[in-house]
Amino acid sequence: MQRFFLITIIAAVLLSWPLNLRGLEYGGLGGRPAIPDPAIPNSQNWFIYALAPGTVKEDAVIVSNGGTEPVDAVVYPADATPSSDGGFALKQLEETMIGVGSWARLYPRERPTFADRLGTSILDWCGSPLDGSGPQSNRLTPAQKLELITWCRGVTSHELTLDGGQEISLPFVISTPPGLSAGEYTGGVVIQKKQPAASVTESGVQITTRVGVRIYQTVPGAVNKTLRISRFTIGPAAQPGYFTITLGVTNPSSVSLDHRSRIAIINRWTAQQQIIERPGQVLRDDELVINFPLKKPFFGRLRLQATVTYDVDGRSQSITSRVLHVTSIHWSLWAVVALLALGLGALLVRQRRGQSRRGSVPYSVKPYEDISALADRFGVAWQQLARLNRLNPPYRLTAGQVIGVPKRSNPKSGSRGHKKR
Amino acid sequence: MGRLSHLLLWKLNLRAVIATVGILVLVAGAGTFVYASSTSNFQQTINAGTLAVDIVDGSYVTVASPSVVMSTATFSFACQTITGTFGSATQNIYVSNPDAADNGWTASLAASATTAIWDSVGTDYDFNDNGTSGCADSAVDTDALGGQMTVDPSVGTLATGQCNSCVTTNITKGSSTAFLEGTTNSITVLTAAALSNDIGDWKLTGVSVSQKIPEEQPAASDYDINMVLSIVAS
Repeated sequence: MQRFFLITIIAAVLLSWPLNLRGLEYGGLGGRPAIPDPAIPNSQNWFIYALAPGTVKEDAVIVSNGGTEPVDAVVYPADATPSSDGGFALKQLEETMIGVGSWARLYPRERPTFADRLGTSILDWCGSPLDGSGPQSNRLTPAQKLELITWCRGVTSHELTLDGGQEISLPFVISTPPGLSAGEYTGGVVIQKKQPAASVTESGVQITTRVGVRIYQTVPGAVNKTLRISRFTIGPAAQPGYFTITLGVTNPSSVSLDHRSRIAIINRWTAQQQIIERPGQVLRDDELVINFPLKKPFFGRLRLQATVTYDVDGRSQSITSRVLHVTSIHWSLWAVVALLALGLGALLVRQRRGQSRRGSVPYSVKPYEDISALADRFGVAWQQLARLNRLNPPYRLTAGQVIGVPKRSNPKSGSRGHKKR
Repeated sequence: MGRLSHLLLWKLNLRAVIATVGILVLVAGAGTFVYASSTSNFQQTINAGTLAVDIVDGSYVTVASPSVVMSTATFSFACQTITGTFGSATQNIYVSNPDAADNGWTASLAASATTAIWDSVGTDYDFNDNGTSGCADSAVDTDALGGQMTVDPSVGTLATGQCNSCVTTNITKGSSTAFLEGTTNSITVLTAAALSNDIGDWKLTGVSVSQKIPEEQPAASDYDINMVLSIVAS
């Protein structure tokens, strides 16, 4: 009883304890814009700029480690690259950047001690372009100026270690090249976990992870928005029982375009309809190739047509592909048809043989009679006798053997052995 | 004291104990509530956090050195295929969106460089060359290596993670796609549309990975390739 009393008390205390609501307890490596502009939608998630060609913009990215363990990471700006199925991705650290990824420079190092005399921002210290020719740079000694020029070059990537729960603000400057045409340019700032050195000696695929924060830079001016269907095919898939429908969409316009791909499939034999839809984005001057898996029907002739819908200044635009036709019959159906054909064939043969046998009368072979003699006697070809009685070469007959002879045969005189039923 | 408590316990019956404890809990709870609401102003800020992708174990702990082990192959005079599974019970592909990507996101897989190869101390082979259906070198790239990797996320299993109220609706697994240098450098593993949960976490396992190995590829036990799993907000 005493034990029960104590257990009850403990249970009551535990039950009255404030409930710990379980939320998302994971915190990984991530990043976000450090200075979002409340007036610009989505600027808390993306870097959104509308810079004229040949101008610079100072900004910063928050790099955070939401976990509890220290993480080694590398941060770098990168160009956009398309991913399959209409996805958006960023180039890898080892790849050459030629777009937005090459326009941004990181400034992780402490600024020179004398820099504060020149102003409060990177642009004050370094000027535009970022060559150390800030407005106050003439106040520096030649040695200081050299140090500043080196610092102002910034870096294209930065390695750092973040403690658990730590986040830092990493400044960067994006410089748009002169002569940039109107339109949209995309890239991002990537925060990538460094590959553990020990793992690269293992056999297999070594995986590391990274998070990208998009940069949308739009050069103001007139833009055209148009999409084209560059390919629409259907073929066998690697996975048995499936077709692969391939849809290619090109974007010759000056901005990336969101769209919705819709493939209408009609089985003309069964009248069944199927719709496959998928949203996606095509980067400017790029082709997006999407592979759609399609389960093969049990049987049918499929008619396929793709429609790509996108938005142009609030108006919905649609483009359609050519029509494809493909016939699909499951192998088991072929097997059933083949079996049926075989069965039918066997039935016909049997029926014909039965008819043949029904049109004959038995005859007992006499001594010294052979097939040619019997054929001659009954006025039929010897081959007919052989076929009727399924005789094989050398068509030997023995005395007393009963064979069939055609009813309508014309026996010559002396056919004594010809019996009637 | 011991005798006194023993006497009290002896005299109390079960109903009295439960009733007493219940009253105590209610009074204590109500007291706490009155205290909190009348005399203190608790304030708390929960930051949105950031979109993240990681490889975690069954307890959502980051795997230090995630990898995909491919099936073993024996030297062959013919082109052959090895297979592996990306994402398992101990190495889940894990996406966490704590209200940081309301328009959706894309998770994709790519090699550490388009010029990456299956590297060995001996000879190497490629992962993104489609010559002879992935079995031989072609003019698609500048190297002289054959071999092609195909990733098929569509056969994987997508599930919600720690978030009990989340759903997998509007999250699409990528289709089977082969790497092809210059054309397909990145393969989409998962795509979340804008209508997907703004706050949620998801696990993906069982993504099929297959690799064509050219004929007469020398035997070695140290072929490896580095790949990067990325996530970007849409």
